[in-house]
Amino acid sequence: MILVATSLLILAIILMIIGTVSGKDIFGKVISVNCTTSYIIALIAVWAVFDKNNIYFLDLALVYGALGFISSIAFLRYASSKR
Amino acid sequence: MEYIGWSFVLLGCILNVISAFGCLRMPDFYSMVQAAGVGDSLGTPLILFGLIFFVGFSLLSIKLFFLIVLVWLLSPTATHALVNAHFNSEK
Repeated sequence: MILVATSLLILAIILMIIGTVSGKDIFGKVISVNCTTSYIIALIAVWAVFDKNNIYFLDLALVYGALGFISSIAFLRYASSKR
Repeated sequence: MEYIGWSFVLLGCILNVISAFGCLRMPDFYSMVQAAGVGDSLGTPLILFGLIFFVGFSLLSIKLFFLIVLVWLLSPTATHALVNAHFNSEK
């Protein structure tokens, strides 16, 4: 059961990495990176609960979510102020 | 109790895969954003809500609740900023 959930999440992450590489413009790539961040948060949380209730992985997921949001906002500000 | 948690987790994983396919295959930018918002604001909090059923009431479930609040606050904000930047760059 955990194998099914983890493989579905890894399939979603691989699809989003393909979308990041083959995006048409900069905004499509940014939204693919944003989705990848969200799926990786879910994957880290699944592993934190099912790998003998490891509590430090959830701190890792919190920091990763905040850093993904900040990086997305910073990259959007850079891309919109270039022109 | 574990079957409820498993159903939430599997439903969230399936929604994430559907959102990834939609984000990859949609032709327009705004429909792509709509497909991505499904996985951002429904799939991932559904997985985190399903994981609360496994751990009961402990420090782990409080951190999972904070993670749900963080995802629900930050992910629509990022999507709104993205659409706003694209709308400003179009005209």
